[in-house]
Amino acid sequence: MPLPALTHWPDVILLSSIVLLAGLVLICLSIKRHFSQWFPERKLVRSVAMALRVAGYALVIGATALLIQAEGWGVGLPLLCGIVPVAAFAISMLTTWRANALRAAALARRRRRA
Amino acid sequence: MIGSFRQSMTWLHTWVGLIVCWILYFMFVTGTLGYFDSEIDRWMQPEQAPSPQTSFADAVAVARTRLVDEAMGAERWFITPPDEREHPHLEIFWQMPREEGEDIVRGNEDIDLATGEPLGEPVRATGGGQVLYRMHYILHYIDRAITYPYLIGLITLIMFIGMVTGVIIHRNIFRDFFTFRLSQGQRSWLDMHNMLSVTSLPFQLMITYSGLIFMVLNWMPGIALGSYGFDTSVADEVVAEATGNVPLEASGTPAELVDFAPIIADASARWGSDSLGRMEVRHPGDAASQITLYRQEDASRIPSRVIYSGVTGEVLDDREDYIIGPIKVASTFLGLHEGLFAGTLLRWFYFLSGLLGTGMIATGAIHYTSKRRKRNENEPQSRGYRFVECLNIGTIMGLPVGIAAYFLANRLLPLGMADRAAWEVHCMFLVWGACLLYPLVRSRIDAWRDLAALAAGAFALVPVINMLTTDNAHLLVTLPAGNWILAGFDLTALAAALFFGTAAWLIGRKRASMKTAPEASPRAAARADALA
Repeated sequence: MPLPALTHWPDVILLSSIVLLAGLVLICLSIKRHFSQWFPERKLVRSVAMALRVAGYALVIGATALLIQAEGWGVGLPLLCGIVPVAAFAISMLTTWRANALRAAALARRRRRA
Repeated sequence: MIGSFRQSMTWLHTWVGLIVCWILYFMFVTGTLGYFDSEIDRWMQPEQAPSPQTSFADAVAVARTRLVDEAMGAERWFITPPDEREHPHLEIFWQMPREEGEDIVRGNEDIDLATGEPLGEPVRATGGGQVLYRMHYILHYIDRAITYPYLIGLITLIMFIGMVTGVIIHRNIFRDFFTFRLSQGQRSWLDMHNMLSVTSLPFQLMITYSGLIFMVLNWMPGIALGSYGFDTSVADEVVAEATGNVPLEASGTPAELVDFAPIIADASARWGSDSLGRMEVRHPGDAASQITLYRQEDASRIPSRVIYSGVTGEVLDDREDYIIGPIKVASTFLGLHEGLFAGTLLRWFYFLSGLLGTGMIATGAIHYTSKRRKRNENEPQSRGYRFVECLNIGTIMGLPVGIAAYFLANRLLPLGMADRAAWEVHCMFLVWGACLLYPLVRSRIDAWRDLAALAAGAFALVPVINMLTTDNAHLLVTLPAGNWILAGFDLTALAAALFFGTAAWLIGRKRASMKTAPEASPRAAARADALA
């Protein structure tokens, strides 16, 4: 079955950027340290981590395939290498910020109780 | 070997990185700006609007009239019609046959499409974005025969060693992919250095490796010598054959040059009329004349081409694979490095990736001092440490100030000034030089904050001075008109101002916390005293 024709940016690039971002978020959450930064109360079970990782890589590969299908190898791969750092940078900054905010909130709660 | 393999690689990474980090920072900054060289050219020449877009055939017709007047009997003509980016004007180039004992006569002109005459001298003499971009690979004030390929090649080689050792010593390359721990001093700088390097690793590896490919024949002459001996004419022949650039002798019999229109129509039918790139005419007016039409370039830098007879107009050669595989591979690397094929979006990603590389070098250099400061907290600063610290501050913050000064000089130096273009560059290096000296007379954190604030101010001034010195190239005009090349430049300058302003604010906050909380630890107190 031929893939739907998505050959004009920004639609295809926007779509694959979102898929890529989602994939990287899942991969990030599959790592213990980052999972606890987002959900300090919960524990990451191994099977969940595996599922997150597989789904994450699948989305990243899907986004890569989409970019190459729409833009060709010559432009698709450079685009991928351009989008990944931006997405990864955003995710790690958000993760740090989230962990900081949670820690500050926890501190404030403890102070109120005391 | 010092200790384990990984330890010795860490040693190597640290010291090769330290030796070249400042010049690499310079190469990364100028190279990153180089992705927008044509846009910077445009901003620095506000009086000279690009030629209107016209059809390939019309532009070539104008060029032909001029070349017939100026350069009949030439060995070759090159005609490059104006496009959206790299070539704002119709460009012609010609090369006359070599006369015995004389230099080859060459000429090139930008042609006004309306009059067919060469464009006059620009109102505003400037080096533009090209000078900035050329610094990326030939530096400045140093003989280019030394810098390219030898000095720059050596630095690139060291950069490559830095990349490979960096990958080896980074223990948890996947697990730490997203890791950034805030407010932990040295640890935070290392996290940031790792994150910037690893996320953009494909780009950084590609850009360094392809940078080396540019100079491969200079650095590995043995391969060519071993295969073809010392007689360079043999190697030249092989290269000509491999690149499809076979020499063509004139027959000496005059013949009328063919009409270009059917040739252009044929090429348009092959690739579409929007995809025509440039045209080469060899031995115009000779019976052996040939015309080559090139398609616009893609990532591989090897455009499709068709060779026509220059007398009858018939197709002589339309092979797609006229270049051998190894050259294609090399050329693809060069094409990826230069990114000339990139459209607007991909160009911005190139720019961002370049900035990430710049950040990678900067954070690595800062990590070096941050780690040693902690280790030697209770000892007096060594001279070597202080030297590294001053160079770090003066380069990482000082070079951007210098570049802002380069743009400001473009607007503020008087138009009729002698050597104006050269003085723009002098301004850049004078300002950078002053920034390099400044940390000598200030404490570390003050120097960081002051220079960051200076960079913020200088970049914020760029659109303001632009508004005061030009009539129709500033944001109030370019934004409503949707002129994104000129507006984009000013907005990028504002973004840079915002970035450096934030940095100055954060450093100032840290400075305040260092001053107000000395009782927190005796070490911090000692440090605050030393800084005060």
